[in-house]
Amino acid sequence: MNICYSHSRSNNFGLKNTNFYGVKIMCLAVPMKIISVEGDNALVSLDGLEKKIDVRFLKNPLPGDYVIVHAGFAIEKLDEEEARKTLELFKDITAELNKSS
Amino acid sequence: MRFIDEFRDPERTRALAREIEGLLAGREISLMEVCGTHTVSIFRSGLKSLLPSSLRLISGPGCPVCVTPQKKIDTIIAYARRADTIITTFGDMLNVPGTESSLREEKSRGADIRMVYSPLESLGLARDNPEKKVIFLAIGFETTIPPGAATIIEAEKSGLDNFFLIPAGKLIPPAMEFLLSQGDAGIDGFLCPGHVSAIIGTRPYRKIAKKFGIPCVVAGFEPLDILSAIRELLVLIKDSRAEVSNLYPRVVREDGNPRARAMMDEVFQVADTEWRGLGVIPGSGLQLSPKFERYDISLVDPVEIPPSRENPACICGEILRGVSEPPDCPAFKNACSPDHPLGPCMVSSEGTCAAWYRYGRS
Repeated sequence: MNICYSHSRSNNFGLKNTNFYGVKIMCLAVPMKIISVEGDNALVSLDGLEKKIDVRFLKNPLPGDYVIVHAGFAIEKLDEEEARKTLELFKDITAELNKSS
Repeated sequence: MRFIDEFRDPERTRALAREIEGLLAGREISLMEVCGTHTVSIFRSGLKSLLPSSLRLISGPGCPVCVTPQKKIDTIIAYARRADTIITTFGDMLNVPGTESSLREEKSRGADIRMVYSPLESLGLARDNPEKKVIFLAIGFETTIPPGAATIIEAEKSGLDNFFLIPAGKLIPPAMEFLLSQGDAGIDGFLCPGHVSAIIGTRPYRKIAKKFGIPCVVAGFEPLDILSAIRELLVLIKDSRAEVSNLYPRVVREDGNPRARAMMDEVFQVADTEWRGLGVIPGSGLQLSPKFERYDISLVDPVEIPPSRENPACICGEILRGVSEPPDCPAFKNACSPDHPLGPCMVSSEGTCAAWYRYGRS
């Protein structure tokens, strides 16, 4: 079931333009940014589009946090530090391969 | 940083693909991507064309619409036919063919079926339509079950007595174990679902890795996430290390999301359940716990259905087990297409047949 609001942009991998907020929904891989929080509710935004979601599964959600949203609920916060570490790892791999080739 | 483009970098993608080719060294390896969103991402991003043909990527049973058995779909349709009922569902369920009809056909005949984005929307409908029963189709895996649980909690809080659900939630790790115990898909490693793991964490995979000697790697959904997870699996296979590795740490924590799991455990309890193509898998489903049983429409107000039958031309079941691929099906692209689906694997946007159809691979 697809809570797929996919994401509108295309790039070198041929990612097709799709609706930001369709009826078909799949695991949305694109993190959304919290704009404001009030109790269990929060306003999130992606590419300028805003959406109300439920944040009861998060510990201390704050404006500015990136979250993964599924079926109208934030299921987890994105850890920016971990994201940077993973990207560093990719950089190292690329550098290694460029050295060896 | 928006955490999207960085994980789609073409140079790094090509570098990883080259490394994967080196690690394979011509060997035949089969990896299963359990989650339908991974399947779609692999097709849509064109990763297939970058990877060597000796690497077989098998699409797994991680498409909730696809694994919902025919009997459940017929049951839903039977409820939809009742005049005093509003069905709420995620969009993909509408076109799934039941034995006689689909929800879309019932809707065109006047059944009140609403597509919802969040299950919580069902409660507003129940409040606005006190003379109707509002029934939510609670299909989904560990990612979707906590929102369903939260909806039940809210229904109880607000004292609504006309909101119900059809419990049809399923658990991924028991299905992975089942597939390995069958042994016919020849799986060498699992690409584990990113957002199911965000809820359950990485521990449930340890048991699988240990019992079956199969490495499990949790992956995100961008091209670099998927390729780095494939690379990690190949390294683990090469070193004969049946370990669990988390390559999506920006979202997945070792112990998952305890708040979401606590709500899920409060509202539901584990039960045996039937999967399309796989049969009944012990402990792989959920039913409402005794405290919340009154929200289960099938207990409160059961419905009779005639014997269910799957379309004999559809091989969705074999595809879900990873033993066949869509082109093996004579109906694929002939009698069966997204406009005229014979089975759920062609209906769901996460379905393997729909992905093959849309992003073309022959």
